[in-house]
Amino acid sequence: MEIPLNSVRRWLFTTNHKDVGILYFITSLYFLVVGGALAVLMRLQLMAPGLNILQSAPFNQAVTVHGLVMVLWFLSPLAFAFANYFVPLQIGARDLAFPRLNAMSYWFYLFGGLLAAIGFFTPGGAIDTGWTVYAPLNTAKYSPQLGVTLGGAGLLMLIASVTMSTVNFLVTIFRSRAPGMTLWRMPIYTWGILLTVFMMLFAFPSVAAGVIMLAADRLLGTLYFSSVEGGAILWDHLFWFFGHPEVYIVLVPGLVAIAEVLPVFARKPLYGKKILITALIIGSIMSFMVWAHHMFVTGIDPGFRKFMTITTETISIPFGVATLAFILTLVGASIRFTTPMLFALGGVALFIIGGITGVFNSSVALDYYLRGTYWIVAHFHYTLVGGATTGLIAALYYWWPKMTGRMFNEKLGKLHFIVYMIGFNLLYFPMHFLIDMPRRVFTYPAGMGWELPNMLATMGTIVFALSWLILFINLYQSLRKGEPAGNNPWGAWSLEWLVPSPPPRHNYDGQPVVKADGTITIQPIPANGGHHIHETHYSKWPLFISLGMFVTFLGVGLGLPVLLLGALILIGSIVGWAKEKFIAVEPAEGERWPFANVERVRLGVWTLLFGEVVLFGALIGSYIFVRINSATWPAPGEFLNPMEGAINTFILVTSSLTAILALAGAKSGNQGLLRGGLIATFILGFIFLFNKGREWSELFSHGITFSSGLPATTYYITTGAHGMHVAAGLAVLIYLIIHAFKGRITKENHAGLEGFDLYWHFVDIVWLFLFPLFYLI
Amino acid sequence: MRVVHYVAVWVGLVILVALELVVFNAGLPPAQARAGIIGLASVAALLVAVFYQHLIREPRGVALLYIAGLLAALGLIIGMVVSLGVQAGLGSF
Amino acid sequence: MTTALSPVTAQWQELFTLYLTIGTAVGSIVIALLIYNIIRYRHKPGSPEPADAPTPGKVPADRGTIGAALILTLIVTGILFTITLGTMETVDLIEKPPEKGTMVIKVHGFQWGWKFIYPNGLETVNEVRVPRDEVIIFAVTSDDVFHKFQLIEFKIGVDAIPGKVIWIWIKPADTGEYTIQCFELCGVGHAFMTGRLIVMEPSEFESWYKG
Ligand code: HEM
Ligand SMILES: [Cu+2]
Ligand SMILES: [Cu+2]
Repeated sequence: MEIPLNSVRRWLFTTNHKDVGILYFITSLYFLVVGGALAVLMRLQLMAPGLNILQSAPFNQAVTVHGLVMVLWFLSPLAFAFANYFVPLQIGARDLAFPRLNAMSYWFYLFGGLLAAIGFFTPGGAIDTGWTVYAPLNTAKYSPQLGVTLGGAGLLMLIASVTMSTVNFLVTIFRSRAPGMTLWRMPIYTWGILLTVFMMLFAFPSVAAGVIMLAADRLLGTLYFSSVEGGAILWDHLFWFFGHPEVYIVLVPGLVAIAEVLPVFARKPLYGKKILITALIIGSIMSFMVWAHHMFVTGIDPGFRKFMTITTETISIPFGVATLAFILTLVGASIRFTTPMLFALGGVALFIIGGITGVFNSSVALDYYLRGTYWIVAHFHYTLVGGATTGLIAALYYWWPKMTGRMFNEKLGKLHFIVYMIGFNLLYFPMHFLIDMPRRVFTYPAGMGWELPNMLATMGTIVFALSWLILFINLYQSLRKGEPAGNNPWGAWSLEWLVPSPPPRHNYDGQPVVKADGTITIQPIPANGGHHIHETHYSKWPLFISLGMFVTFLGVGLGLPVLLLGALILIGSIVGWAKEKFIAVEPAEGERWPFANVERVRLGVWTLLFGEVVLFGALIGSYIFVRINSATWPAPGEFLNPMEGAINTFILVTSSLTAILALAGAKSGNQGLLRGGLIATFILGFIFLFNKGREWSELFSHGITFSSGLPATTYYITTGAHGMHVAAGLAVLIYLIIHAFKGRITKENHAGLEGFDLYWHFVDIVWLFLFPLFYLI
Repeated sequence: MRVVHYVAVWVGLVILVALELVVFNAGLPPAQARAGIIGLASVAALLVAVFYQHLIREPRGVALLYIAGLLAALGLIIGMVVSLGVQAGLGSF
Repeated sequence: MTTALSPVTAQWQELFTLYLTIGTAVGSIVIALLIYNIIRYRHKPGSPEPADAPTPGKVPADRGTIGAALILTLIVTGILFTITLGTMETVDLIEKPPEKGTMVIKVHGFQWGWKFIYPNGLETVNEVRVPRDEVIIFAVTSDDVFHKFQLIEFKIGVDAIPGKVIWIWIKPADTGEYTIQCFELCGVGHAFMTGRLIVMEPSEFESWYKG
């Protein structure tokens, strides 16, 4: 498919990382405006006591959608706009490892956001539970409106999008680096994105499990969050195990953006790049060990809480080290005060303030009171807006000339900075003085001494909003009549600055190479040896699959016909995707440590599975949690028949054998073994599902439904999630069987089958645990 | 790896699952039975991962990340369970 | 700042002030350092580029050493752990009331208000009366969704969670009316989920309680 560059179809069907980056860029700014408009409304309502601009119900919707949109649909995606555009460039690659997946990730993100926002136009309004969606307020009993379900559906699409991105970036960074581009030599922004996707990989599955369980509660009537044995604390765990890493997922790209910009305009190398990277690695790992600091006053075990206090104190160390590294970078410098540099420096200053108030919160004694107050609001806006967003604005100004080929107006940029800093501090600093005022109230009484800080904050809001307007005007003018930027307006070192602005579609006319002494050259690809590369840059299926998913989710609210239509689009476009001939070129050679021998698709599937471990861990953990928390639980064998489970276990184990034999057949060129193995695997998988179905219907006929207590709830949902994985595997199997019979799976070409095998064995492993957990103990 | 190896692993898996049933029916005290059964299941899972998913041949990085995922999951589970502990502080009242 | 209404309140204020002092000091020093460097190392017309300035197409040389890393880490760690020392003690105080004769009042959060149940079965809504100078334990729970029971002037609060009971205590030093408010979003009535804590002279309380 060739498409003219100036057509709309280019943007709908593109799979090129730079185009997708621009789509992310525009969309994230769109969501910024949405979230910002909601914020302005809220601040107007809170300007003075007892106002009536936004009543209680709409206020709760606004505060919820504002939080969700700003964190998940603005801040992270803006970081990934730059990641999409610049990570491949910075490592010397021609594109991401899976371009179609990348495009699909974008469309899932966009449609997910629309799903969440569409709630505003439904009868009960949009989701209104707070962005933390606490249980049991999130259940059908207390929030029956469609908007909450739609919000959950939007979250699920976003989580799917994030998962695709995660797989894509990890495989790209590990498989597509130019020769000589060792991990240590990678620019700091790419490093930050690498750590960010690692955190995403392990954090998002936890909330995915939570949202799936919530959806089951709301749609099927299971009891995870409406029972007291699960309920508030169960959700708290699943949410914050994701939620704390998430704040670093949002923060780290902002910090590394600052680290990318500082040295360029300080004209000095980053101080202690390796120290900084090490600190960020430690911070990323530790971010999974502090989640209960959001549960300090929920009555959790004091010993556990003490542990989490200590880890929370400790996690500040790496971030303190990072801050000092930034400051030390300036020593001996010759600082140029360009707009990006001003924002980078401003980001450091604001982040220091937010980091320090974080230390207050980590004290359990102080947190008994602080939790739920405006002090917390001040804290996380200083980190998320002051630190992360300001850092990304620095990145925006820094990379804008590269992305558009045009300079912006420096004077307007500096004006933006001044107004931004004034607005920001006027908006958020007074909130420290609202330490007695609860968060998320739509109004407050006079006479509590809250009037002045609130008034100041609202005035700050107006100034802050204006500052963004200046940015948009500047960008618009730059597009219309900005000076041409040239290749390298800032005198930066990294690879993206060696090519024209904007870079050509394939990035490099040749192969970038980093020599031993650190010199970067772009070597022409030998005309004789290398065949000419023709990557594909367009596919319509990512958009259509996402659309199918979107309509399907809408159907959950609008009824069966819509749902069926969605499913039809979805299945049709998946088939279209599978049949499409799409060429993504991986560099012939490059730095691939430590995954040199793990081929692209296989590494992709592995990555997905690492996340799946956490997904099933969260489901199993929830089962164990509610079981321990329940006064009684049926003895093994009481409502499930161990023999039936055992038979199914034998069947699934055997299907693993047939799957591995099919792979062995492909590798040795034994087509009979290949085809026979695949068909046997399909049949066994099918019998497994059939048995499950029989078991379920038998239970149902005995009156054991989704809502017959937590044993039934956990059994149905955990094994149901596993069953869905089996079903998805069967769908892929159909595709593989067709290919095998067309003779397309060969000794040389069996990457897809290998990926399937990994997945299928994983599904087997999960069952090896589910069987004893549910049937035997 | 050759076909016989794969079949041998399968035999091992079948035996392990059968042993789980044996332990289940042996009438051991619940704690021991649970430990035994989960232990057997873990060995079976390990067999699948090492020989069917070929961890034995993959670079160490793959196994490390697999373990990282496992640790994250275990951390979550252990944290959830431990947090149940006893009522904070004033439990004696 | 209010005078100490209750031992926990005093401790909280003290701890907060400690954090605020150290936090402000550390923050000021670090930001001053940042600004100092910014001014001192600004580009002056005609000044030469630093010798190791980034050059296009060349990976910059490393800067900074492991020793430097250790020093950085030590500085940060030192500051952090000095200020944590006070914390654990206060937690103990919050969670362990003095042993003598205590009154346990059950608090049930509901959409949208607070119900109080006294030991003698007396029930009140959105208003709770307690005697001055005596240890009062609030056993907080919720009848529906997640709330947070907070005594603003006393600088103490705790989550109200269905199926869980969490205790906090006060020993009010002064009579008067104080604010109770919900600090966790709990639905459309959240902003108005307030109540009054009325501290009375013990004798007055006694006659009210009996009557
Ligand atoms: C470094 C960047 C940071 C970011 C992006 C960040 C972000 C956040 C966010 C979003 C919340 C509120 C969540 C909610 O309830 O909706 C929060 C709360 C909290 N933060 Fe941070 N934070 C950061 C740093 C820190 C640091 C350095 C510490 C501790 C030393 C810390 C400790 C806490 C604690 C204990 C809470 C829970 C307070 C409460 O709700 O009671 N944070 N943070
Ligand atoms: Cu946190
Ligand atoms: Cu409330």
